[in-house]
Amino acid sequence: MKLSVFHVDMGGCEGCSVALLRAMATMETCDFKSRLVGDFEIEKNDIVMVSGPICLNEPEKIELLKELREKASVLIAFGSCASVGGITRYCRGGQQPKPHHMTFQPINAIIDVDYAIPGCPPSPRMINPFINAFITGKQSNYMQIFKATTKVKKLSGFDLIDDIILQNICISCGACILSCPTGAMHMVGGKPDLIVEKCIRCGTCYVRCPRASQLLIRRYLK
Amino acid sequence: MMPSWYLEKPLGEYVAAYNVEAGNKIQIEKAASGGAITAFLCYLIDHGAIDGVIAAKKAKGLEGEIVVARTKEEIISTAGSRWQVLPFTLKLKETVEKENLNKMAIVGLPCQVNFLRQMKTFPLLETDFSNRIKFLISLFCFGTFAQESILSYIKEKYGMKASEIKEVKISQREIKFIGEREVEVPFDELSKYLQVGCLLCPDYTGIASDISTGFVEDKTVMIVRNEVAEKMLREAHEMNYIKIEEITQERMERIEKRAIEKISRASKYMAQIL
Repeated sequence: MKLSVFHVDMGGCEGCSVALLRAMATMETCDFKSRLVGDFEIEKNDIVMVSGPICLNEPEKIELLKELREKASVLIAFGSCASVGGITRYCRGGQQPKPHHMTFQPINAIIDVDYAIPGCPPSPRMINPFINAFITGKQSNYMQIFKATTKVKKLSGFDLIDDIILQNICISCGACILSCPTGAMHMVGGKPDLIVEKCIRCGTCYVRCPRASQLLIRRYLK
Repeated sequence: MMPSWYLEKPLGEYVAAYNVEAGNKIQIEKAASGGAITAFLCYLIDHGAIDGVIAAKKAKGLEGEIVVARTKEEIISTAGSRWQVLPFTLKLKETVEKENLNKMAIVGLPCQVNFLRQMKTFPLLETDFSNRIKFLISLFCFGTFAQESILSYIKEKYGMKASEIKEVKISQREIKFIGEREVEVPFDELSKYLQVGCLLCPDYTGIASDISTGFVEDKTVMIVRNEVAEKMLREAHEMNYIKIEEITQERMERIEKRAIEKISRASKYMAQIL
């Protein structure tokens, strides 16, 4: 039997949804359904992927999230907003009724998450290898990083600066610079530095940093 | 990362290990240690297995930079060891895109190979050039030095200015600073100038690589981690680019001992950080 994968989007820029839809065409090894392309009932699913942050002012969304959790064997927060808050951490109100800017939270504020994949958006190319790990049962060590990420509610270039560079455990390997989607990381005097205005709090640099990913796992999984 | 099997398999998973030296086909003068890696890369590029190599090259003085080498001549010009971590930067990503390289070999340190393998397994970014990486070659690493502190130490204690130093040679026992004169300092004396981040690293050989390589005593050792790499190495041997011979049990144990040393050091410092 094929693995059933169900995707629900909680809102946001839809970048993650587009990434999932792009990957959908190549996902032959599983039975993939997305709420974006049909009004599917929520049934028992092997894997549920949630993209977008949760708005705490929307009770029906919160209920939906709880229902998804109940019916999922594995729940994956897909993308930075769902897993660590991402750019919605900067949301300001102004709409009516006025949402408070802390109203948007990563989904682990409401439910337990099994894997959190940061990325703004995560590339479609990473979805198949990730799902296949559940089919074959061969889990790469790197999946531990995504497991540990579920325990944090924020992850960004700011955290990388605090935990790694200011703690003087940076080794100048350049992983963060190659991983930043906005070019917020750059080298100053042989060490990475953050251009704060450019950081969208996606957390990609943090999970890619050899030291930071090691810290994540040691802190939260062992 | 420090999975539980780290201590059970300090060298990670591998299929074979060899002593390797450069064969007759390639002439290399200034390689760090016999030029085995350079010769192997030349084989890969000559036979179309790869179309470029990302490696470190000396820029000026002791400074180095990461470059893309596309021809045999360019590869040979990058031969020789570096003594610091050279960061992969955006410039590299641009070069890879611009030159349209699709089958690259990357030579890096265990930390770099680790994140590149992560990038290759789970490409989080649309711009990740993960599918263009064909070969990951890791160099054995017991830690890199904080460059500025070590240079000022050498100046204070041995009176050798940074500008005088032309080359640095690192072995397990000592570090040689070579200029008009030669200063030889025992490794242990300088070990306090290792970067703190390196003290946390449990990976000596680069377990995420396809081939891990390093200089042990007087020979280059290659640890081959998959069948594809094994086949390439054997072909390069047959074509006379490199010469390989089975490694002795004793030498393997020596590498393993060093790896375990690094793992226990990492556990100790990790406990302090947490």
